[in-house]
Amino acid sequence: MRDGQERRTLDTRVCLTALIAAICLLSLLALRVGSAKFTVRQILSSLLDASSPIRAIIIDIRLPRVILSILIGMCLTAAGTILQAVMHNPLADPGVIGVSSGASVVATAVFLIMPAASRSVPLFAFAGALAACAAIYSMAWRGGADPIRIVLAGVAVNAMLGGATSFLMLMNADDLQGVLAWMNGSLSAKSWSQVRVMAAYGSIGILCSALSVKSLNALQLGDEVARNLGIRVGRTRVVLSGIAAYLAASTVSVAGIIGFVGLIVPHVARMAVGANHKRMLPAAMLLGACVVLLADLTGRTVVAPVEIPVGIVMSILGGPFFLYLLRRRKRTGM
Amino acid sequence: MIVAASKLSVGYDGRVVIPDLEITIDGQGVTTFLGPNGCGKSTLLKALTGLLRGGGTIEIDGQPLRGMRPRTLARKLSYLPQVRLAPPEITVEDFVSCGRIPHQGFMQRSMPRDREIVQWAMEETGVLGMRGRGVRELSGGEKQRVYIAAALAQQPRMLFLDEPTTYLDIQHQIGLAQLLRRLNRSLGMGVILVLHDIAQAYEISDEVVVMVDGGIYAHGTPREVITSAMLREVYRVNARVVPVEGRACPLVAFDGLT
Repeated sequence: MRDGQERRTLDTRVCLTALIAAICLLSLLALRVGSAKFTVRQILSSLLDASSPIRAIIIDIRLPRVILSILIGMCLTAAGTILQAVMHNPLADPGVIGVSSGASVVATAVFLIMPAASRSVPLFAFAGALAACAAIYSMAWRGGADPIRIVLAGVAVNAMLGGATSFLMLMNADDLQGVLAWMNGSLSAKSWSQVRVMAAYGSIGILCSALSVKSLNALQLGDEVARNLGIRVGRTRVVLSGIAAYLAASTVSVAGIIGFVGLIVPHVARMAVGANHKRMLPAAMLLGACVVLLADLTGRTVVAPVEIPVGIVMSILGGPFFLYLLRRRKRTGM
Repeated sequence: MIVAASKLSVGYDGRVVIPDLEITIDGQGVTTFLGPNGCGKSTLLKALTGLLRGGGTIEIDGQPLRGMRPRTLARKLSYLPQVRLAPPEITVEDFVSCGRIPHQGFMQRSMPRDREIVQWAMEETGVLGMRGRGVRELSGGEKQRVYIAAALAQQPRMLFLDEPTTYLDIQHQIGLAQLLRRLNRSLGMGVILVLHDIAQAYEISDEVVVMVDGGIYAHGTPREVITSAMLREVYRVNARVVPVEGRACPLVAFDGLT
């Protein structure tokens, strides 16, 4: 039986190493593939040699996109992992607490009503996401925020904001180009400045989630058990949801809405390394990076030269995969 | 450790379950709360552990419960609820390790001492052999022992359990009763529990508290408290408490409703 335990920890180490290797591999692939194809040697030399002719393409166009994919994958997955533990709900993802609908309605309003300000959409979207989340929590608050009340308030607020977004779009049906591109979450045409923003926001969020490991482990056991372990359940749930909302909102502001990553990836990680967040959180974040890299790579290549936004790829591939996971779960009784 | 409540009033959502209650429990032995459904036993248990807030005062070793940091409280006492969420996909060892949470920092880093205590808690409850298995795959009796192991890892001075033997077969019920008794005797850990089974309460307890309608009907040793008169008045059943030759505990035989 000791073996069983040791096998599991070894599993985790192998998993993490494999995931890091996969990220490196996918990144390299993403740097190679595109309208111009390069060899690995060309890529490496362009990274080191300032006079390399392809340096502009690799470093200014493809590399920011790769790094952004990794960061966004990690942040979205961390947000989903936190929410699933905090809500005791395997179906929780950043959409549940209003991040997507809040960001959408504000971004749509900016794009359609004040197109002059569309450069500041990221900032507005970030604010909208957090405002929607705050609205949901204040509606659900009754001496504490019960997960079921949060989910119900979320449904109500999401429906309302969704309606408002549709209304805005209907009234301005001629200028939807920008809105649609944003809503489908795209990583195209990203520059270093966006990478810097994402890295700054993301690293704070990821640090906070790493510091939440203990609370996550306690909260997923249920409110009474967590309280018995000395956790201030109500306050902790709000703080952790806030971290999740912040993480998701920062990705939304940079790349628009990318669904399913925060929902599916934590499940896969949990199956692989178990629900102890000390192991699961890092595994999930690395896997999230892989998934977004892969989805963006797919979107860039399948119907090249046309690009499918990463958000659409995630929905098309993520939906069926989620169903597959649910069926598998039922069979193995997990 | 002594737990004392005075002028205690608690309830849920405006419905008062316990209007005004005084109790002092000397946490040296095993104390059992008995009483009919809805009498407030579980509510009292939750109030004494600080899980339910209400009026009046509760003191633990003379210190007021109100205002005590949750973490400090979690090092003094542990509470096992009756109804629990399905556990996550987590191994027995990881689960028991969660008992160390009140003693650890943000990252839940395990020191050698934490690991020793987790190991000891698993040995003590007989779950060491299943440390690598998932908590979800375990049977009801095994799960119950894993939960108790996690509570032990918390190193509380007092353990509160709400109907821990419900849903267990008789073998596991007796095993659990013996385990609690042994933990009480060998570690000096106070045990306070809610039970429905009167015979079981007789066997396991040093003290019995009988509750009716949110108040205390009787508080004393099992011999003093568990009588046919009490059963008639509190539970409205006719019963005889029959001594059995060679047994410390009598037999409680029920003859129907009054």
